Amino acid sequence: MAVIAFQRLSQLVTDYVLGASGTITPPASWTMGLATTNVGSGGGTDYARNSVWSVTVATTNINEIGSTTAAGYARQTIAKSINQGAIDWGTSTFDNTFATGGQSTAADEVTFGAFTGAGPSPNGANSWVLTDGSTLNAGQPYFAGDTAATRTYAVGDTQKVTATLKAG
Amino acid sequence: MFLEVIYETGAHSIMEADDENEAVDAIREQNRRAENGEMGGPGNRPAERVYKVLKYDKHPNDFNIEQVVSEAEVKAAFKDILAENIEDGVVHLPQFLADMRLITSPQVDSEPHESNYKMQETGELKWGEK
Repeated sequence: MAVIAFQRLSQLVTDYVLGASGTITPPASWTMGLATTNVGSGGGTDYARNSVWSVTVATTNINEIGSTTAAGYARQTIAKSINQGAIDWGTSTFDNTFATGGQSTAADEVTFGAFTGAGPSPNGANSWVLTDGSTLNAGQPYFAGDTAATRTYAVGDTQKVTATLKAG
Repeated sequence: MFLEVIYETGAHSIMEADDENEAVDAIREQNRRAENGEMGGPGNRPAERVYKVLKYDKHPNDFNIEQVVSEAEVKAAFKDILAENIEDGVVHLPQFLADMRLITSPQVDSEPHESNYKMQETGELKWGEK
């Protein structure tokens, strides 16, 4: 699965964690979104380190499903806490293997849907994106991963996503 | 309108729909699949029975999204959280600040069949039999 960490994620580490910035700060909560576009591998229409949410499906933009017609789609909240909130982050785990190891954490699983009617427009999720806010095609993207296959939704469908972040 | 779907498994999801009828059709379909042992969607995970559906005027994640709260609320929280963090006359400041930060969290630590959100729902959607 292709994954990417966007620049805003590392900027939170350098500015907020290392430098105690009061302007580059984490959001009140994290949200998870689904996008029609894919992470890829750095190509002209793949994600870039500075990708942004946009309705325009071109270059390195991230385009959210349901941004024209939601049809049951909405972003899902992940609380800014560890093993406290209803849906939040797990306890850190550590893998000391030099080449492949690192520290990681997994969020609780989030559920999308049930999708309604003829499904969202645009439809067909190719990636999930950890972001903020509830407004579609807006907010800061932090990290993303491709779905195993294109997921196209019809009435009654749900979708489960578990986000994991590993720093190695 | 936004809806918080609470499943019997304890899973929660937020969905946006134009009206209640649109939402009811989808919720009933997911529930029907669960009762028949079918998959919940293209990810091939089992469907889940729906326990309760709560209605909201806006996405419940938007509670305090600007991270700006009233002076009175900060003072009240400060007093309560400080009291919770005093041990032998000292306060572990990072833990105190982390607890203060949660004032703007839109979520609560809820029981499996209760709302995950601080925002007050406008009602419960009647979608069929539980």
